[in-house]
Amino acid sequence: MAENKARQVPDWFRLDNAGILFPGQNTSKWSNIFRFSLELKEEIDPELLRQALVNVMPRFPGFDVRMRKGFFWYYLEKNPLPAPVVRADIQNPCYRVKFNEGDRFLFRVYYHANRIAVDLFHAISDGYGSANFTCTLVAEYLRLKGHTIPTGGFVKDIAEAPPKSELKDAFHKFARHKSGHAITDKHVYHPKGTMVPKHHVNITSGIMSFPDVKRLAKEKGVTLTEFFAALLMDIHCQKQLRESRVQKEVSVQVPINLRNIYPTDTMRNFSVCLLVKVDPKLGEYSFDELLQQVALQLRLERDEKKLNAMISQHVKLEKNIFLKYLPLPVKNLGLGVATLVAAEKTATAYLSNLGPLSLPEEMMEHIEKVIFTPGPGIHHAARCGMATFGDKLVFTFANILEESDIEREFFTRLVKMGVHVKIESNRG
Amino acid sequence: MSYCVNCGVELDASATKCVLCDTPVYNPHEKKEEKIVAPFSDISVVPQNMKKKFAALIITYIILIPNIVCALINIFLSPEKLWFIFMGSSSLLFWVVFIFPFLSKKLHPYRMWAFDTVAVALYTFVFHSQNFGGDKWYFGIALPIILITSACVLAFIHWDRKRKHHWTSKVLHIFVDLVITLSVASLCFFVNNRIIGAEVCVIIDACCLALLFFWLYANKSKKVRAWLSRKVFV
Repeated sequence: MAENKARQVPDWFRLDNAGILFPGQNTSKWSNIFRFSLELKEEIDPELLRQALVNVMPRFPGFDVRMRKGFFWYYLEKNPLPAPVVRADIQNPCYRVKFNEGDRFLFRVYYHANRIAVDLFHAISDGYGSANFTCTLVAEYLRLKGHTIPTGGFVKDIAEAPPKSELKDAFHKFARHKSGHAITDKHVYHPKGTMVPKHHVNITSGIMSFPDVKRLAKEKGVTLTEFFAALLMDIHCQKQLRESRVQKEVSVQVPINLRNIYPTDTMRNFSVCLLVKVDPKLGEYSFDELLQQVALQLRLERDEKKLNAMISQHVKLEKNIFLKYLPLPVKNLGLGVATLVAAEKTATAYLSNLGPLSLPEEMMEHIEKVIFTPGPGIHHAARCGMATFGDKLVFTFANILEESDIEREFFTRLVKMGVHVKIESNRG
Repeated sequence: MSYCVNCGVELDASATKCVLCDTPVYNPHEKKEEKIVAPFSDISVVPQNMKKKFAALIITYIILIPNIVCALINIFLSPEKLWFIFMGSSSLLFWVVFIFPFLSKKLHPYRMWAFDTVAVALYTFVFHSQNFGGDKWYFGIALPIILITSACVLAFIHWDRKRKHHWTSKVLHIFVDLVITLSVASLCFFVNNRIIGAEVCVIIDACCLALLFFWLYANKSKKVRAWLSRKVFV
């Protein structure tokens, strides 16, 4: 079995089409690290967690890597160490990863009271991949605790060899357009405020009843993502109006998991971001009008042909003969300038919905809740992640501003709609 | 369990205030003896960046080595003309303006101002005397312009440090400084019979003066200030 595993896993591999951007953008302000946490019903034993991590690592070769510099591109190489150190949780998660420091893994595992959290660098995987990894880790931890946990859903079988398809760059596999799809967007509104110190982010989670929120969205005839995106948009529109300044467009960036559209089981990045926006210069939008706008725009943009044109454009850019053979330091410099000029300027807020988590029945009784926390942005006061488990929906804000007015407005609006919200935060 | 009376949300058992609105939690039924774990740890980890002082020291050595090599080559192989002075003085000016601030423990603006003024004045003197010889241009035109510019910068630093000013006031101050500097420059050119230089300075000075009057008006009128702030909002 061990031989079989060793044969299937390459010593090094290229970063995927989305992942190539992240190492160049890795700064103290923009870490591109996000967090996926599972809260259990009992306190975590760090020794068992450490053992579980060592057991799980061979099943996820895409995670068992360190970042290396080539002449033209960054690449991933197998990390000689068995697993990263399991650490006690900290107050400032999602801080920058340094490629040449510590154990050089591109993810960190933390524990705090009942919670197991994984902070993951976006270059190696996206929300789906991190959910698979964390759920498998927690399942193995529970097995070491003496429970019987079968595989299924997000829990992978750690005894089987990792399939090659999980390491494939699905962007290259499915991009078929020759022309691509040029994306040009205006610079939009960003709330102003007092920035938190470097390497810090204010995290506020609202734990609410999933059936209650689902009922609200259903009454309006929209999905949960559309409902929350419209709510975020409304809050930002109102805030901009209060600031009595030149009214700019307000937009929300929503990542789409392309695995729901294309048949692939890749564990690497495979999502694209759609942008829904409204222009307040046209007049004041009511919440119902915003719901309609968001629902229509999102459904229109979720067209397979358009999405394929988008990923084709990204692949085309990667294959561009001029960019391809540009030395890595020059690429990094260009990417740094592009980040400074354009990054996050076209989106006011970010909303990522991980959706309901499918776990084996035997494991579900040990899990209290699931939290998905996006990494800090450089302009976004609201980078939001939501994850649903059982009848609990956890909506998390990652805010780089000291002010909490956006979170407050968001959660109090839900309270006024009749939803019970419990707040947890790392704010002092 | 506690609820915020202001926001209506349920708060974590460990919370002493509402994280959304800072309203303090007062729960008369709170059980003190229970061990409550906060949702987040209070330890924060900050990765260390490369120390600026160390980087400045490395750059200093990188600048120093070619300068020493050039000076030795110049002195021993072609001592008839000291060309290494051009490279050395340029490097010194670059080092004083851009590298030295990172080597000093506390970056005091007045100290930096003094070093920069001396460095620019010395660099101009060395460059001029090595290229053209004579000191009429330097003492008649260059030095007075450097000194008046430096005095204006000092006045700006002193004024800006006293209290926080609106950005339109800062622009106004910069225009006042420009007008003074350009007036002195045109006078210097005129006294030294450099009529074209004097004319160019007067034209630019007149433009700055016109803009100065606009900013004077903009600075006084609340309406124009608000309009400007709105127009150039980033």
